[in-house]
Amino acid sequence: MVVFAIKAFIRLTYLGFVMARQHAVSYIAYIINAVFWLLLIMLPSAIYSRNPHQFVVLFLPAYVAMMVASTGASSVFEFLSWYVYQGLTDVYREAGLGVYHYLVSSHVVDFLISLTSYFLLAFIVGSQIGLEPAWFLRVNPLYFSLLFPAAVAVETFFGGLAAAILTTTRIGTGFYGFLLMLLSITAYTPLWLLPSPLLGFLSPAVLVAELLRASYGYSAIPGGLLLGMALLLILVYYFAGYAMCKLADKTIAKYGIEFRM
Amino acid sequence: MKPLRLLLALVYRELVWLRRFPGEILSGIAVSLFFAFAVVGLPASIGNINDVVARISESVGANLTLQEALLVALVSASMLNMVSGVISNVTQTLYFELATEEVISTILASTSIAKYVVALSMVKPLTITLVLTAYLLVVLVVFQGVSGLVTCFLLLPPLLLSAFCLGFLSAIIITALHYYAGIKRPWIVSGIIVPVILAGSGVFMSFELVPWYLRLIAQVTPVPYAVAAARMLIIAKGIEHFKTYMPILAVLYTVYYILAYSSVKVSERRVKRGW
Repeated sequence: MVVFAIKAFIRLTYLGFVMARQHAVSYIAYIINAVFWLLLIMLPSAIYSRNPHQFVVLFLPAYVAMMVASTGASSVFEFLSWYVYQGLTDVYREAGLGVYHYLVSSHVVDFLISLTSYFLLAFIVGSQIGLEPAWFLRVNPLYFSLLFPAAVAVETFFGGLAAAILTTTRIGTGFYGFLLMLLSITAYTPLWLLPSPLLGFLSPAVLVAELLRASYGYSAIPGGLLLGMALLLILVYYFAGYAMCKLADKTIAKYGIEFRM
Repeated sequence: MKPLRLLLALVYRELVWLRRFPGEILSGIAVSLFFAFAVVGLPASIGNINDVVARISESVGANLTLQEALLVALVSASMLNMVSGVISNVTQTLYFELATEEVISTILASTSIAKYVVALSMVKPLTITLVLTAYLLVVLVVFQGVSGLVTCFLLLPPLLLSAFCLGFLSAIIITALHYYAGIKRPWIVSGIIVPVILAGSGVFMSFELVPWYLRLIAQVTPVPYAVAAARMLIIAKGIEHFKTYMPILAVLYTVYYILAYSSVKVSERRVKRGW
């Protein structure tokens, strides 16, 4: 079972890399777009804050979380919108692959893209406020190693949520984008201002942000508790996302899906 | 077709088109509001709000209250909507229309491509800017009372002139890329240009604090001057911004108009020769 799952993951990841290679220019544009939009707000906010170093360590990690959450939702949107029009959704389904498999195929690529653009953003903001060039690479390996599984769980959750919304409601794409944007922005929730920092985890994206913050030594949650919670929440978010993906697949199998603009 | 009729036809089409996208309009406004509140709120969350206001005051060179700092951020944030709305819509509309033979034939049956492109590059920015920055009317009235209406009216000239310039800029880029580079994904153009211009324009901080490499592209666009004009209007509460920045914006408008018209005219000759 485990060997089969690993083999399937490797095959789907290969598929993801092949697709990413075909859209290399789009990915480069995506990185530039994301980094510059964030610079627009992070640079002045860091300059206006009392302690710019503390500011970047507390808020820049939320960028990775937001990217992972929004790429999960946008990958699924692509699969259930543009690919429907182009007939690719049918091709996938005929091969026994559904929303969940499409999400799995993009996990590694999306994570690498999120991390690369985060490093670029951290480098530019850091150099502007006088931090050493590679400050963002000084991480605690324990927390940092949990980042990929957490990113996979969060991406699956947001992808599953997007799939459930797109297949079970008639919501327009404009409002869909608005809703998902609001949810992914919750990654920036400052946990230290909440009555209890644990409340922040109602937004799955916060987990990725908090792990990255903890890897720099700044976390609103004590280390042991954060590790335990991370392991539990990774499973909860992942299986919740998986269940929503399967719900979407079943709905498509029963009612079909229309292309929506 | 007479130019006025062409403009009216385009205005009608834009209004019909805009009614189809309430979600996108709402998202655009929400993003602007989020950015404006975040630029004040995020640094305040790890310190004191008064310190943040003091640093913002220092950055813009005036002694601001919290209310004024928020208002400056909210007005500056309207540039995000204007720039992204205008560039992405003009580039994508022009790309798909210039690439569709039937549309080109329809345009040529009633007017010239150059006149059509220039008209579209003005009408789209006009409608998009008015719709996406309409929230400023509410914001300014809430913050300044009835005088907010005057402020809103005074904000329009720099905003609209910038929007027209960006419309022309989009027309120049998309015709060049379409006729000479054969680009397949026009959204990549707007996806890169919009944040590069905005990040380099000092929307939420003094232009001088923006890194020089980000300023390079932004300073040949109208956005930094429109941002400065809007900021000056809120801070100085007068029409100083007209004297300082409107001449710059007017010159840029003329330059962009000439460049857009002549570049599309050259491309039109190519089309008529059977491109």
